[in-house]
Amino acid sequence: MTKKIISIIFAIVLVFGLSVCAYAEEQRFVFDEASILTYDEIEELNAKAKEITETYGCEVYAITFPGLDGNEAWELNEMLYAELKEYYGAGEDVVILMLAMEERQYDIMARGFGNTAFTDYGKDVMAEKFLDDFANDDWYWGFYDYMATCDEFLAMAVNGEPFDVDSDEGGSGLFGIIIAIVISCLIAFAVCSILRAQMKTARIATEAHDYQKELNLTNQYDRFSHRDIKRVYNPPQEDNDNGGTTVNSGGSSHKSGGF
Amino acid sequence: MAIDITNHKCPACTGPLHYAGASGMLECDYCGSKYSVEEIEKLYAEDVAEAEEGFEANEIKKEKEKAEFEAMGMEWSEEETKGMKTYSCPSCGAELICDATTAATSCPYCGNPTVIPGQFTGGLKPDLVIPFKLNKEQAIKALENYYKGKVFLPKAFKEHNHIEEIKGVYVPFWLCDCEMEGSAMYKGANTRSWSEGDYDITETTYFNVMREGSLGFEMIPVDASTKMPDAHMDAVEPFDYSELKPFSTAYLPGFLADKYDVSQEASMARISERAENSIKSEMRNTVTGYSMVMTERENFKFNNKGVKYALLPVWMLSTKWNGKNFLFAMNGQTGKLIGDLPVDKGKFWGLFAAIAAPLAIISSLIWILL
Repeated sequence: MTKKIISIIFAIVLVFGLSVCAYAEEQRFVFDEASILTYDEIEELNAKAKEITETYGCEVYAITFPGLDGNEAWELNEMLYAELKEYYGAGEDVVILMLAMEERQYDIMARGFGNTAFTDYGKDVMAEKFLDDFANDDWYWGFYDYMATCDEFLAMAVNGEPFDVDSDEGGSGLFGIIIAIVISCLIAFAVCSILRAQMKTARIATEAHDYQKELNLTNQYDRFSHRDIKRVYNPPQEDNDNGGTTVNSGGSSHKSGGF
Repeated sequence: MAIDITNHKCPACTGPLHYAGASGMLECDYCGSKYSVEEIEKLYAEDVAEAEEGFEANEIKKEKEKAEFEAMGMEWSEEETKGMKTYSCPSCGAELICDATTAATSCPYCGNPTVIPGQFTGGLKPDLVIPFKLNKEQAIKALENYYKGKVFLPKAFKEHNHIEEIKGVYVPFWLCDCEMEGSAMYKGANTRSWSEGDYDITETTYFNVMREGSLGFEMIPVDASTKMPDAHMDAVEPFDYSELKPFSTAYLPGFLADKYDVSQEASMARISERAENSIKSEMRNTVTGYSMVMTERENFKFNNKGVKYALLPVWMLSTKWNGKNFLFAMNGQTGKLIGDLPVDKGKFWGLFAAIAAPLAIISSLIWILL
């Protein structure tokens, strides 16, 4: 295990060391160590991350990495942050989305003001936004959605109302109202249809229940045929009904999963 | 020409008699005398027999005259006379032109109720009849009541429409005793779910279910007149068969009556379809104890156990509104009234908005608050 950690730290140091050399003239926020993005995509995403960072004072990072190499996603992300801090001068207020490509695992890590802006519920919602893109190997748009959500949640946090369970998105609120209107219309239409049906009472009879005698069953059976058993994996749900952010002893909060 | 139709006249004053459902007797419109059906049957047995014979003789005579006129090039075209018959009113001598199936009517000149017993001779004679129990006034009242509580009925329809025509008709029906027998196969399933660790487990147990048996039916009615809309005749069911009586022309005066023009054979398809649907649902109802039941196969055979020919009482009411005819039918025995009414689109969408708008506002507020 120690060997593994040393090797991965070595890889990280090498990665960031090279990056620092290559981009010495400006701060970088997107590190594509798994080589899944084009140069133009990296530049566009980096520009967006930089803009958000400068606007809200919370650094937004996006990192792709070849594999976890035996670590948990959150462990690797913490190591990456340590190296960013060491070699790149990363601050205390950060949010990092890391993808480990071999295991197709991701981790969102937040620290400092990031913990305020990205609550547990906020991270769940954020993950929903990019996971469908990553599931389709649409890397650029996955990171784009991540940054757009960072922009939105940081803006809310700066205004003193971080996104959480009790401050659902405006879109969802509107969606709920639309659903409420549609259901109301359906109920109204059902009531009106029942009343309209009373206006038409001349109908062809399809059954003869008024004239039937007792059913005489001469033979019957109910025989066991077969049994089907289906098992569906249901991963444990994090209880985030109460809102807020769960921060570990190192001062970071995480949200990990597969894509 | 021999006499082929009968006017039932009051033995006391010779005024026209009509059958009154309330008293169950034949009543004179003029002197108010009342006679039982049996009394009138006895009195008019001779006249009815004479009219039946006259009907046959006249049929032959009319055919002969038709041939003669055709030879002279004076005959009406076949299209013009199709489905029509002529009779002479025994009271005023006027010529009555009726449908070929008309069995009871009234003279448009003297107003006397007339019966054409020849339409019911031989194999055409009905076995049974349910006499009218409700009169014209009760039918009109029932129609007025029918309008009540219909929120989409245009106001002008209630206020401005008037009954164009109301007639009491003895409608010819076939009453079929029959049995359906056969079997059905179903697949029954029960499901239970539970969790084991991080897995949700669903167990579905399937059963092969078989039911075999028979279901008897007593007197399924089907109207045997092409003039009567099937949907209206089906919808006025059921009739109370305990009041079925052996057929007598004495029940007919004062009402219209038709002989059948849809054969038993032609009616069997509708009867067997109704019987089959009934046994299907009855058998399906015996398959219990499953959370899900799928029908896999059904195989039923129809056995005709005998058909009776009956005349059943129906009041037909027609109204006109905005150039459209609206037809209503009332069971002349039970008073069940049916028929299609116009829908005021403004009222429909008005009520829709009145329900949808507050519901939408309340549910949206609840959504926002929660």
